[in-house]
Amino acid sequence: MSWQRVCAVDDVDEEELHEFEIGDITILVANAGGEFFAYPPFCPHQETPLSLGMIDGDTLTCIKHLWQWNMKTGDMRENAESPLLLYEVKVEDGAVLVNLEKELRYDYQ
Amino acid sequence: MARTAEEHLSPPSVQGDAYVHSSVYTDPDIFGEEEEKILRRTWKFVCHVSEVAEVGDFRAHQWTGVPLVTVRGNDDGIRTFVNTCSHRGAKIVREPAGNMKHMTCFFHMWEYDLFGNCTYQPRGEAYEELGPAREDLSLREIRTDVFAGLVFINFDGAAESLRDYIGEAGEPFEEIFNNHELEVFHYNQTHVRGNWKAWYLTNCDLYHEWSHLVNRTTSVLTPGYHDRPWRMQRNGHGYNAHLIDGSPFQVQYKKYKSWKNRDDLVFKGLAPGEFRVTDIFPNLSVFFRATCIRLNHSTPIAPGHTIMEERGLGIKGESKEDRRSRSKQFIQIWGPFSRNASEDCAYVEATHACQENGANPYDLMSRVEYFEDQVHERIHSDAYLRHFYGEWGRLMGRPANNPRNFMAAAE
Amino acid sequence: MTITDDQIRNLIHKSCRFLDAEEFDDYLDLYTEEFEYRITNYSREIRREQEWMDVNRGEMKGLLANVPLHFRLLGSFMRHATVYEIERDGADTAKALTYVTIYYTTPEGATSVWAVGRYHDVIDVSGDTPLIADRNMKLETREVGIGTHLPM
Repeated sequence: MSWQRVCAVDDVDEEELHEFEIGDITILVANAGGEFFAYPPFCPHQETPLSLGMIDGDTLTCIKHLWQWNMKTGDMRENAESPLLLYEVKVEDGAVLVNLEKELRYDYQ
Repeated sequence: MARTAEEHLSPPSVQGDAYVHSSVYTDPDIFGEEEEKILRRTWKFVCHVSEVAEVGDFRAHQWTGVPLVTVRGNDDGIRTFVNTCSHRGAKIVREPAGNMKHMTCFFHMWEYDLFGNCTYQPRGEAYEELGPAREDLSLREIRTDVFAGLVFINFDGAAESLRDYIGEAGEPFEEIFNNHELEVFHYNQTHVRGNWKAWYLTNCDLYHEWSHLVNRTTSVLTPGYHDRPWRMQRNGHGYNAHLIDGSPFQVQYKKYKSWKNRDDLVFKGLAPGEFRVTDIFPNLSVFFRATCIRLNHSTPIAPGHTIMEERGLGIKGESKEDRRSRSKQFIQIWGPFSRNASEDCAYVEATHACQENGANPYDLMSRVEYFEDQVHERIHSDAYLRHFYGEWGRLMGRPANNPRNFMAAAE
Repeated sequence: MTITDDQIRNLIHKSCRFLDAEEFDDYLDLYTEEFEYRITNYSREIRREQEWMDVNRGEMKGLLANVPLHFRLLGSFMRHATVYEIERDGADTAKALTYVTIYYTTPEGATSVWAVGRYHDVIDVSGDTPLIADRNMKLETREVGIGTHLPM
């Protein structure tokens, strides 16, 4: 386990997505109704930055082709053709921590 | 594998009505024939009645290269005349709009009344010897009629009535237009480097909504979006209004950053956020976006030159605040500084740039998305595009997928 | 401290430079919190004044944030502005009239005049630095090609 602080909970407003750098690794943090999630920064489809995406309840939508996933599980919803990878996240003392044992990457063709 | 030149130039391997040859957008002979067989024989939208509300109000325009003026006469009738003096052919009315008591040609100061009669010629007695008589010098009148406040003309005196021509395609908008006294508050025109059909069919190709950020965020994911059927109508018209179960499609405007849903100022007869579009052959689209009505049509100038016109309608007499809100919402999506209209112009110009040099020999319209009944087609089907070209082919007497071979064979 | 005419001129010139460079955050910083921005013109076709853009701070911010996500012209704009008049109409505000020419340069490098118009600005001069409280970009040009998402 390698828990690392990514940001303060106040750094990401509700229904917002923000990128943070931990060393060479970029992490996308999402705040869905006060619950925090962390993902690799790009859509598994065509590397579109998911920071441009939209949150609606527990659904994350990529702005380009409207692929959608369950934010909690990464499971595919509307339009998506591959799942979303997610980092393990916990909140402690007002900070968002991510388990960065290894960087999560998609295998783009 | 990429295609070879031969493969690229071969017709797509789909049924014949599912593609057209790009020459329908670029060929000057086809364009000239369209003017004769389509544009001068079908009803053409001119303006909204509010633009000629008072006696003497006029709008000058052109159609198939012919200058025209539409004017409200002293008897309250709206008429259209060929806007050229019977004397030496100068254009008479030179302003795009205004109010006049009579029409005076600026060349020799001949005058016409609002019925098109020639009423005065300076030192007119000089025509007594050779003629013609003044009563033979009236202006040519073009058939003019009004449907739901929309003024149309038709060069063809034998064409069916405007009401019959529009038929049931008027259903999605006639009642709403008649629920209010409407007036035009927004106008813009753009010279688009593209073909008039490409412009019109961009309005009718709702699959292209994938490309608009506004539509991706506010519509495409909204429940019911894909549950709207295309409703084809006689004469090449069609519309897309309700869901198949009859309920309205309500756009979620608040999903676009900084926008609000359209719950207030909604036109009577529409639901909050409701979207509808009706396409009247050959090139008028009537859009509703709950609080906004857009009339969009174009004037073809040449195969690759089209003047696109947009009008926004509001309710006459509404408060200044309400009008401003309505206008704000209109220009969020339509107009030269809007989110969607400039993107649409870019699509049309981009396709034309490739079509005119033969880089893209065929325009593909083979999308079919049926409802479970296997009859009605969903909005991302190319159903209306095929319907349009069916009517085009009927009027032109040639198929749109191979128009030039057909012409060569005919010669 | 009294705001000078030079400071007002600088403010207006900066508004052009920041928009040219698409430095949108800096551009927004030139406006008051409650500002209103319009692009207007007089239509000879419908014989009335009309708005082609009408936004407040929140709407302008949303627009500028989304601009990179929209399909748009690939070339660049350059605004050339000359402040013709500055009028003091009270302790807290000034009015400025600026003539603006907007050039468009295609991705291939060809430049043409895209539009001409006038900024009718109300400037808030109550603080240490002047801020634009109200801008009406009154266009003389009514044919702007395929248009743009950007304020002018």
